[in-house]
Amino acid sequence: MGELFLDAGRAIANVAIVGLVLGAGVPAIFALGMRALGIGRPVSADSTDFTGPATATGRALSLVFFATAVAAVLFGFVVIIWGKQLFS
Amino acid sequence: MTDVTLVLSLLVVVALVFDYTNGFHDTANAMATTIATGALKPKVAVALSAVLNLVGAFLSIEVALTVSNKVVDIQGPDGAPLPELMGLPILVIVLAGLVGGILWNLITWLFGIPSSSSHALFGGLIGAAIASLGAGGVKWDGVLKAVAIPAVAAPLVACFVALVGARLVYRITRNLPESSRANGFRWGQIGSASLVSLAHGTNDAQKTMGVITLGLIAAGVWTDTHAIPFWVKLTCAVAIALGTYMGGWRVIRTLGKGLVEIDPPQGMAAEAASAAIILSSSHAGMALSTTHVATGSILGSGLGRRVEVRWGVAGRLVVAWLTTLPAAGLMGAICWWLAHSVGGVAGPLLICVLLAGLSLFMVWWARRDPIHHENVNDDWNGGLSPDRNKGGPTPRRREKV
Repeated sequence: MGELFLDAGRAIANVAIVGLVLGAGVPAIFALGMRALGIGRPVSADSTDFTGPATATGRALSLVFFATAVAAVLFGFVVIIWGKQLFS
Repeated sequence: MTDVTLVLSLLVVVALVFDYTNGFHDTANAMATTIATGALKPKVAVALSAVLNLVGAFLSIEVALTVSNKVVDIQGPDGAPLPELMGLPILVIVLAGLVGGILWNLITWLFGIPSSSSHALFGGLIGAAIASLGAGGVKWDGVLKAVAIPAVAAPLVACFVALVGARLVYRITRNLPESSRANGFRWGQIGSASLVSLAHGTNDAQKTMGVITLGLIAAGVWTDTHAIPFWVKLTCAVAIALGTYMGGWRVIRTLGKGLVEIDPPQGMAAEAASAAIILSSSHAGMALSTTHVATGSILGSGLGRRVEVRWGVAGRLVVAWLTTLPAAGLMGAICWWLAHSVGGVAGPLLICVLLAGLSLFMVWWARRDPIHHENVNDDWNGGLSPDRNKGGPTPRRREKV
């Protein structure tokens, strides 16, 4: 019985770690992409929207972040389809 | 047609009905946040989720014959029924369990409560197994490991991860103009919600496929414990997709509007946390319920964004989770007892007729207070029914952070 709880605790800890890295990390990377798009960009007087296009630096940086986030989602699809062969 | 074939036919139909309720009960897990923030129009969201569930169901390559084997002692290690239960006995147990699971799914849907369909199925099977075989028919440490511990852990882990995710996202984007931030994150929401839908199709349709295949083996019309007949795969995939497309609007409303107000960045944090946890958990040897994870994530994302969480609603959900297993179990047990007392084919037929009657009654009850794609996003004012808001006080707008 004790072993059962120990195993369960280990599994939960693993899930929490992967969850934090991917589940919280990927939205954070996406957020960095959003922020990069706003670098040096003019904002309307009431600061509700941008009034000009994104800068070249902003675009390039955001592309890197967004590509990482998309790659993470694609990795998710790979896990769904071939996960059992890959991880067990 | 022999008795066994007749009961098997009933079982296949009832299993597909269960799969269908599984679909509409769980649409909310993937799409409630996407619908609440307007990232996708309600009908588009359920259609996308349905297609991904359909695809996901076909992607499941595992044979989930041993799903029920975790909690009830009616099968051998390879998933084949125990020799002494072959034929009618196991068919009636599984049928009664399915009926119990469906009834609990419908009751919780009526009240707009996102309860776990897998727990309802397990509960129904456990109840039917106890009724027929006694307490020894249940693998209690399996129940602890596959049901009880995950039920406590899932919402807590999901809540924590989504809280951290939402906190990070809002911190990183705090200086961005509101409208551009919202628009950007709506795309993120669609991506993460799609992952949850696909994972759902893969995991949940598999359970029904396993149950039907178990029935086929018990009836002696299928022998391979390592493969599922194609027609079973096809019908299960279509049933769960149709259910998803129906959209359990009552549950969607509770998760998208009732628990906490949702903003696009928060929605993305919630769905990303759900996707990561659902996917990692099935590989960590502890499959967590999509429903518990999604609810925990949405709650956590609200805490992370520091908006008001309606703890009254959250409390009701927790109570429903705790009661899912015993309640579905009780129904499974009553159904088995009814079917067994009447006996023959008439018994199983009776519980199916009972199921149909009670289902129609609950659908009729729901229609008195309908929730659909047009009113699913109406302001929450103390209850599931948007109509109660009419003529009442203007709903209080919550402060945006």
